[in-house]
Amino acid sequence: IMCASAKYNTRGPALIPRMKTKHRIYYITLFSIVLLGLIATGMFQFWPHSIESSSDWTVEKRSVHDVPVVKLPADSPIPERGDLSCRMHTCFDVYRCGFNPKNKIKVYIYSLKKYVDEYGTLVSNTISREYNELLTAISDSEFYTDDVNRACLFVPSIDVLNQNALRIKETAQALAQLSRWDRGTNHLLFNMLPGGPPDYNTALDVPRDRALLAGGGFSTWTYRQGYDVSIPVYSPLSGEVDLPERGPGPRRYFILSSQMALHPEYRLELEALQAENGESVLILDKCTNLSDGVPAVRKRCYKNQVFDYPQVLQESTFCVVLRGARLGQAVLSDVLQAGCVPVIIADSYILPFSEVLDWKRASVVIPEEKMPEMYSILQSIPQRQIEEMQRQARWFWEAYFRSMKAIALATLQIINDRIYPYAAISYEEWNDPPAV
Amino acid sequence: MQTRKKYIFLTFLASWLLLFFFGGDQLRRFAFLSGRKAEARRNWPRWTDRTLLKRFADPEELQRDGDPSLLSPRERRAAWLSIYGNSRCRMETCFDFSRCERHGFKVFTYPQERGQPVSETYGKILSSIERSRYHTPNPEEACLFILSIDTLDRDHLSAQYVRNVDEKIRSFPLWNGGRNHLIFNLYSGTWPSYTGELGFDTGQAMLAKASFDTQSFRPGFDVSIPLFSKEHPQRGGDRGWLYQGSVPPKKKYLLVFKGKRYLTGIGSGTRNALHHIHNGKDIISLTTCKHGKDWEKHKDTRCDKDNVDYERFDYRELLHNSTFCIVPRGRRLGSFRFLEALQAACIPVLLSDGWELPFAEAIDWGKAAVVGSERLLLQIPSAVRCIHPERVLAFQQQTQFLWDAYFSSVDKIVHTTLEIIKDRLSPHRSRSRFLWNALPGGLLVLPDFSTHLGDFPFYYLQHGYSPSKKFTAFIRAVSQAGSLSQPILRLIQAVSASQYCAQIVVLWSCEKPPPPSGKWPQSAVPLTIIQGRRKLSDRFFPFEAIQTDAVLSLDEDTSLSTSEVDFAFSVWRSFPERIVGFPTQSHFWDAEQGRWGYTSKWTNELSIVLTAAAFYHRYYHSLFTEYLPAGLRELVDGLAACEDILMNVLVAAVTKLPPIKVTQRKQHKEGMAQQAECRDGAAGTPPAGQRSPSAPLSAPAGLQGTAGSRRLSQRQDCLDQLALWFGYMPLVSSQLRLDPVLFKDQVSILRKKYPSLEK
Repeated sequence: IMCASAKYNTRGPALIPRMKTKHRIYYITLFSIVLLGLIATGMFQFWPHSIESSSDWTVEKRSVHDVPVVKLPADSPIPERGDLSCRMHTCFDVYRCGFNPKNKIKVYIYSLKKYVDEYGTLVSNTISREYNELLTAISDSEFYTDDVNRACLFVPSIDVLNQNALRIKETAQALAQLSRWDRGTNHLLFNMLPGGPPDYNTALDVPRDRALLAGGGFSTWTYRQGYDVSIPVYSPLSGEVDLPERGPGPRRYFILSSQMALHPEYRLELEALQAENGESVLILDKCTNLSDGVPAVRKRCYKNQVFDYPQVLQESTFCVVLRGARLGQAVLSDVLQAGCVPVIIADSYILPFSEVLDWKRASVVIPEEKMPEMYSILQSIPQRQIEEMQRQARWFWEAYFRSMKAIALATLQIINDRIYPYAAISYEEWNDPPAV
Repeated sequence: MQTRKKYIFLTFLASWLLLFFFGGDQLRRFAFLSGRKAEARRNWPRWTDRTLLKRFADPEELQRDGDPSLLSPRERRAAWLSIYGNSRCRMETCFDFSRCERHGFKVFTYPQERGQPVSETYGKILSSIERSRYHTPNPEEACLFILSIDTLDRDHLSAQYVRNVDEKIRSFPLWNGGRNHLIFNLYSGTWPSYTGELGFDTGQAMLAKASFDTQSFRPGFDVSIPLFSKEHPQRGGDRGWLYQGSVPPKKKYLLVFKGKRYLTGIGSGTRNALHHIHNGKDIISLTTCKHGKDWEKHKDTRCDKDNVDYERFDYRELLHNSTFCIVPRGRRLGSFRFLEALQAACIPVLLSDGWELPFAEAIDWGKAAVVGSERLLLQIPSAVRCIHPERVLAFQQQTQFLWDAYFSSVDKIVHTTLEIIKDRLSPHRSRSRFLWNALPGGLLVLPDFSTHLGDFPFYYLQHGYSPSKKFTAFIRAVSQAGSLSQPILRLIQAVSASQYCAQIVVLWSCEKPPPPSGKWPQSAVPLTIIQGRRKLSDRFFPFEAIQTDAVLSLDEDTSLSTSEVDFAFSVWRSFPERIVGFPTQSHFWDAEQGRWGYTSKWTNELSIVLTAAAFYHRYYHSLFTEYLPAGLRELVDGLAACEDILMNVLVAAVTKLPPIKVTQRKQHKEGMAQQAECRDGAAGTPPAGQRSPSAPLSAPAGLQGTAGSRRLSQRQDCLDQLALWFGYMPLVSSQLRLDPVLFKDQVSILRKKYPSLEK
């Protein structure tokens, strides 16, 4: 810098004195005008605009109801049923992902549309709050791309989180007409409540051909290991109720069951346990005589006692998570949030994110046949280990259950790790709580 | 001219300003703000009414979860049996858990039939099972059954193919549709498709099969095992090629492959492409077309040149000198080179799409191998180049751990298979994925002992636990009845004076009953007396009375002072997985006789710490009693002085580390007079004096001398038999002794923490 300014000084005076004074003034004025103009331009362009522009072209101020409507003809094609033999090397087009130094897959989200059948009736709710949160999370993540040609994974904006809220055939048709559908290759669907009465299938019934399924409630028969991803059933209470973390240690009850819709056969077995072990076992049920205005989902009763749910979960060391009609239960999320060790009784259930999470460190899995022995099995667990499981349970909730964002990102990371295994996140990073 | 210049200037200025005012928008997008361009991507819209959207499910609906009264759980479980056939077996549907309830996990092998020879490998598998602690000769108490028919090679073109298996199986009364059976298989299918078919109906039997493909693999039911050769050792097994404590230098090659190139048929897609990545410098990929009888028929232009190159490199040399090894599929998915690379610490780069990796239920292969995709072969070189050197080292170390823990012998492969199945029987008492993938490995961690990491001696450092601050003194008494001898009284006093002593447990291994409680000395710590069964292996039985992590094992005639105990305990707390003690002995290779020798001379090396005065973790009692096969304990009970050698061998086999010797006060020559008198059986205890290191050779002549030499030869025998059982010599030598910091230093005795050690 010193050198440069010295040079400038020697040259500068040589240039200016050659001109006449009149011209000099003229040039100086001209120069100042240009300078002022530049500054003004800069001020005008960069400052007020930047505020205006962010709302101008990145975020559309639109309502969900204003999205374009797509009419599905009755005879539009339906994808094949899900192919149970699909694996990454047979059904996934890995060439779309390419090799990149960041080892990140690119995820594209289809824009939101409203699908109606021939008669103009809606195929499903346009989008649920949770699915919108999930897509927002993907869109804000580093996986996202808006360029459909560079994408490796496609996420339809068609909401299939809850199978009961959609029409199966029409939803399948809507999937099939997506611009890059191609038999569902590299498409990822998120579903939390699969199946419907009477048989409650454990995977989404919508025909989806080769699409990957991130499903809550897979059984070992429907889960395509290394292809599908098992995800939790999101509990809306996670976002509504703030349960402060409770230090590990013994709690008032030893075993607690809080589910309302238990099969009578299970309830009988639980009651037998309670009869045997007395006070330390608490079996709650729905409240029958609640006054109006009190939400039934936030209360549980035992005889005449009323308990707040999910707060009561923090009062117990172990909390039973039994299968219902479906294998995946939202109560698992509440239990983990409360730092209660889940006792999972659901034969053949694929636990959420079981591909990467070591559930033995956070839960106790008991076969349905061994329910009567539950008490003695749990008693044989050393106290120090229980405390660790309590901590681990809470950490799993915080990292992978807490929000739709956490669920979405964990799912994408799992798929990412399959495609770039040499850059995969290690067991420790998935399972060890961050050091305090 | 001036005016013209002025106008030009003004126009120029005006256009410039105009450009900025109106075209700035575009300019900014393309030129000025390229860094901010990301913001301009079309994200998912922030809907104005996003907070008003409906939930995906009503909270009530979530909690109610359908109609529960539909199908009773019991009916549903029964229905599974009929819906899912044998090809979709799961433990819940195809395995009879009730068989394992009464007698635990017991394995029965069908007796060998005459005229029905089995292959060498299958013989090894069967004998591994028979040597395991789960074996039972009684089918009544068995939980798992193993056929005597050799099912390893099911390629019907092979010489070892056994015919009419279906018929033979049906004639077995225990077959029961294959329920609770385990079938081993290494080769299935044949040219040209090499499918997973075994050529007979396996029914509901579990398969332990090599080259398993993910589609026919029944998760949680079958077990994928590695392909191993006929020469794979029965027990012991070779070490990995990366030695403990040595950080491998940068190897000459980055990535190597040397093998056949299939020109046609299954697997040729991958094998035929491998030569593309050869660069002659750090990536060596050599292929040959020579295989099969008619290779020349399919020969292409590359073949001749490739065949010449192929001969120039040695396979083993490449293994030694490369960081990564390509392990592509062969005709089948698994190959021998997988284990070869693993042993050689050459990180396997797997190119075998759809292979269910060996023991993947337990082993986290992402830590030891690079799982590549056959379709992305050409990305492999850049992918492995990008792996950070620290990760490369971690990979290499993990290959060595896995090799040594689960693959180095047929015993280990078979026992791992059995342990994986056993873990499924009671999920709450099983090993977590962490235990399987951390030293010393799943086989050496007994979930029946505890499922908590802090109860084992191996994980303190990793998990920030520390062993409990107290110890249990465990004294074995064999001396005369009635009154207590002087040494044991002194010992109890010295030990109980230690601030770390939590309790004293006396194992009374004498025919006569122990003296009444009033006769025992009063001490500050509780004293428990256990009536032993008068077997030598009793000493390492996991008694419930032992509650602390540390055990101080003592003989009744050991003489120790309180400071010795205190110092040794503080050393043990730093090395909780090892044996820490006072008198030591060592082993050596006796080249003349071609066997392992044993010596009790004062030497500069040590490999055995006598358990007459030693600290160790109480978990080793459980390992000794439950992990070692019953045959070994019988051997120990039969020999007079073998149990402490076995304990040392066991701990060394687990930790691969030598024991630790700590400072001992100068030995007083304890009188030989106070010898044990309770020697009325094979289980008698050896004379006390001879347990001190100098004893056997300095022992008085005559009767003492012959007794001493008999003992020495018995210990020699013991060492030999143990080396045979383990298949190698697990003991590790050390030249280390730990002293207190100021020990024998020229400073005031008042400044020393353990002054009495120097007296």
